[in-house]
Amino acid sequence: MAVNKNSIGYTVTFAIVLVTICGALLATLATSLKPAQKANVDNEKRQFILAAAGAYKMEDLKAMEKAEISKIFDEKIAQNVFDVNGNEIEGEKAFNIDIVKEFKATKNDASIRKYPMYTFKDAGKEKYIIPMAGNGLWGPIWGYIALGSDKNTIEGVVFDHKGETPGLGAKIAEQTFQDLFTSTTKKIMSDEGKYYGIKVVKGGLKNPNHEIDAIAGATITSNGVGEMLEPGFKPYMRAFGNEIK
Amino acid sequence: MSTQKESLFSKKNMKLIKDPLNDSNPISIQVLGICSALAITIMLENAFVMSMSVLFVLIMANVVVSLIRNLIPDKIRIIVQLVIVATLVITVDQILKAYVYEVSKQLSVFVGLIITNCIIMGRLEAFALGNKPGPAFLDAIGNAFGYTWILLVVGFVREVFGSGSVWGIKFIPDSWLIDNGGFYEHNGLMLLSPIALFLVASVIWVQRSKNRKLIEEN
Repeated sequence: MAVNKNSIGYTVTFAIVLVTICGALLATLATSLKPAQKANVDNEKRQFILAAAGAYKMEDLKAMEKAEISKIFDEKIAQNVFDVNGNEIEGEKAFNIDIVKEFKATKNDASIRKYPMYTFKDAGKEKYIIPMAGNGLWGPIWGYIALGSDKNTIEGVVFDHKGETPGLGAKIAEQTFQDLFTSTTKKIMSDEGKYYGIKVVKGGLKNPNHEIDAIAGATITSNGVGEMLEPGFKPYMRAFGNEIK
Repeated sequence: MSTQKESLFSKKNMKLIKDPLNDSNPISIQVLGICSALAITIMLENAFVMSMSVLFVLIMANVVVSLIRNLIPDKIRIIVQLVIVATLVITVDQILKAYVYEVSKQLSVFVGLIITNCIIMGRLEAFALGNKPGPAFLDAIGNAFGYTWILLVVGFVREVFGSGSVWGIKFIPDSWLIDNGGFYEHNGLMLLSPIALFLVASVIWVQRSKNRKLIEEN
């Protein structure tokens, strides 16, 4: 070959050509797969909301077609978005708010955050599904908490996470942990109308209506869930007409 | 050209496929790519998708690197290999996210980590750089299947004893479980990564007792 393969000019040219080709290929691929990927993410979000509402089991939802889930979702779910004081923000669609991105974008100032809510209506009964996001050990955690028609008692939860440790923090996404929220009565407000939220505590529950046992060995993830759940209901409780300082 | 075609399936070339399945298996003999073998073998389906991802990346990378082996400047050859592997891995990752979302969530970071899988870098550096695309293709198939069969064995054992299912299909009825008043309990250890280490070690043990020339002298 006439070209000197070890010259700097050749090396640089080779690198530039290679990177340009690879970059162009990936850009084309990413753009063309984007709609299919977004459909998957949206579908999962609908599954979580419907599962939290307790109307469907997660396994059944996973077996359903996307179009079917989307149809049920549109029929039975109403959407609202509130500001921190519980006033409705007009013209916003709850489904368009990515709760994790919204949490990250407003992490220094929760007062400008938008608070989406989904209302599930079936057979005259209503459930209020509240999405929330927080920080786990390795990345974001998020969840959907369904309140019953008294707008206070938890009737279902679904949590998920980006990359918590399997067997430890990742347990928040397992049924055993999520059942803690519904096996005994958990309430956001006390009977006297004081706001508690849900705390995650170690070493036994002192206030069983407003507390959940932490996961052993997953302190930081448990704390993250607590920090997410304790103040997280305030804007919604305000929207429901409670006085909260 | 015809001589090259003929020699593609010659005895020497078939060795490229057979050896990595047994005598120079990337996992059990060379002990490479262990990290992913431990992490994603809880379910057979995950192990299979992971294996197919590695198969795709390894074949494409081996062939591409072999095709341009005479053009790659020596000074940046590792970087060039990395760029090619990374491009392929991101391709796989994007496709999984679009078409098998559930599995891609479970494989999480491990698809991305194929980039650093020693089996791939090892084959590129040791084989593709010095051989024609045909043999490089066979070498990739051999090594990828050497990786695959171990992952599938480990995945099968872990799923059967850990979850009582094969490929997601349960064969142990819920009524057998102690929780439901039965007599059976799934082995929780099977769901944790360390057990894969024991299983891979068992494979190595069985393999070496059957194939005595693999046992080291000392």
